[in-house]
Amino acid sequence: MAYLQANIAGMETLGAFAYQQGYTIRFTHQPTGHMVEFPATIQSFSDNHSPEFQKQYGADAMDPTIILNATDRKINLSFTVLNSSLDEARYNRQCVNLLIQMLYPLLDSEGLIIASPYITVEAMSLINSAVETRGIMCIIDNINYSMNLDEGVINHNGEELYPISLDISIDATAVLERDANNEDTFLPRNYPSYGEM
Amino acid sequence: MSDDQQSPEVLRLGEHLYPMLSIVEEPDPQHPQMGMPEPVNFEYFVFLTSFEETFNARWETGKRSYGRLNPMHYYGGTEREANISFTLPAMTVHESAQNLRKCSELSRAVYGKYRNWGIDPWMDDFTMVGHRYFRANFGNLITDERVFISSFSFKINLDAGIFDYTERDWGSAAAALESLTSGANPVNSQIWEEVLPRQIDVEIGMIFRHDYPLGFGGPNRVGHPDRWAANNGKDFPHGSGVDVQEYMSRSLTASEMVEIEQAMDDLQQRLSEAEWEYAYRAQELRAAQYAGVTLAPSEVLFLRTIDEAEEVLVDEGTED
Repeated sequence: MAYLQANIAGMETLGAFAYQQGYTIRFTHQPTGHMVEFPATIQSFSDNHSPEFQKQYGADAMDPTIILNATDRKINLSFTVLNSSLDEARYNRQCVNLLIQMLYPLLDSEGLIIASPYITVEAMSLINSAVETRGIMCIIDNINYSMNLDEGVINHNGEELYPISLDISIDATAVLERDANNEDTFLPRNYPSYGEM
Repeated sequence: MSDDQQSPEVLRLGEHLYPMLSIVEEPDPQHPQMGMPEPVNFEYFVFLTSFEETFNARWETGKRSYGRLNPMHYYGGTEREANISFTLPAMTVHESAQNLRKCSELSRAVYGKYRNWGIDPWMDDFTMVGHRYFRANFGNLITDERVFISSFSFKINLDAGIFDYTERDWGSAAAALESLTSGANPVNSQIWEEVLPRQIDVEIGMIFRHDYPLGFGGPNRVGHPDRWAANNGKDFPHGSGVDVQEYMSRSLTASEMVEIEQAMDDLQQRLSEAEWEYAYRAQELRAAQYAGVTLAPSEVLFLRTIDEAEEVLVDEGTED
């Protein structure tokens, strides 16, 4: 199992501060257990809880009858990966690579998919399980990788090219959790758990 | 400077600092005999203005029965697409014309391949025979990947200006610049109605078609489900210039393991045969020695080596 932490080197860096404070975003690939963690340089975060309604209209009734079918939870998160040196850029590149690789499944010996790429996302108190002390299992629909070229690049030997600043944007659908230990509520009491309040 | 060679300043900068964008057409892997009429061969240093990649996981959501907390999710695969924008600036007429030629070549990448069946000599009969395949390279961001070019956008930045046609003689200034551009007039298009922009902005889209397995485990990693399936010792999707992490490192595939086992068996068999031959030869030489035959120095050395080896074996046997 691989466990990579971006920007981990150095004591005076942004990474050191983030890890000391617990301001991190961690991704765990469920089929393999590989983990990668980034300092939470969050640019945007949104968590949408969308109910799916069905409307039924009756004769002589102004308002429809509403039937709630289910509720979905979609999370959008974007953060920046910053590189301050060639070594850091190379290591962070491997961290971002692992994050992207997490979108790929587990294969059997014949190349067939045997486990889908479910990913557990944990981002401080923003994305946090209401049941256990870990993140939320998600389906990541897409990862967008965008280089901020205006902020400069780090290059080496005319072959290696790294952005000083890199934006990662993620769209995820949360797999909703149920508190199996609690029989009187369906969802956990403190769902969606935005913090210990 | 040839027609296809970039200016020395751009080449010097590119060769030392920035990677070259290479989009080279390759034969259809399923029908290589089809050939490549007018292949696209774009290898050029570009001024990158944006690089964006998207990795889309194809998840299909199944039907959800009433009240069910989560629907079924079916995973179908992950797609990789890239959008690259770059600028082609021109300091001289020569460079501007060259940039236009390169854009013209690259724009053909989004068109299909056509073939003239030519059954009737009086009439052309062109039929589309498929799309074009490309091999793309761009430093460690795109490392020898098979791609389809999904979009090409060509935009002239008119604010940067164009090279005008003029009959005016620019005198010594033009002569000085002409020496840099193989005698061509550097600032005068010299061709009536020719638009030669000083800056072109290009945007291309790519869809990747990887020719190696993607995921974890798989046929090349039997017994190692936590390792990257490609098993080629390279980072994915982008190169990192340093040793790969352990889960990405090269390991023996199942077929390589079988080959090694076979080779070990062969070696063992040959060693057994050689051992038997040496023992038989040693026995012959000892019999000859006992009969009073004088042995050659090499034969004496051979016997001594055999004796030493036997002593070592006896010692090891005693230790065990």
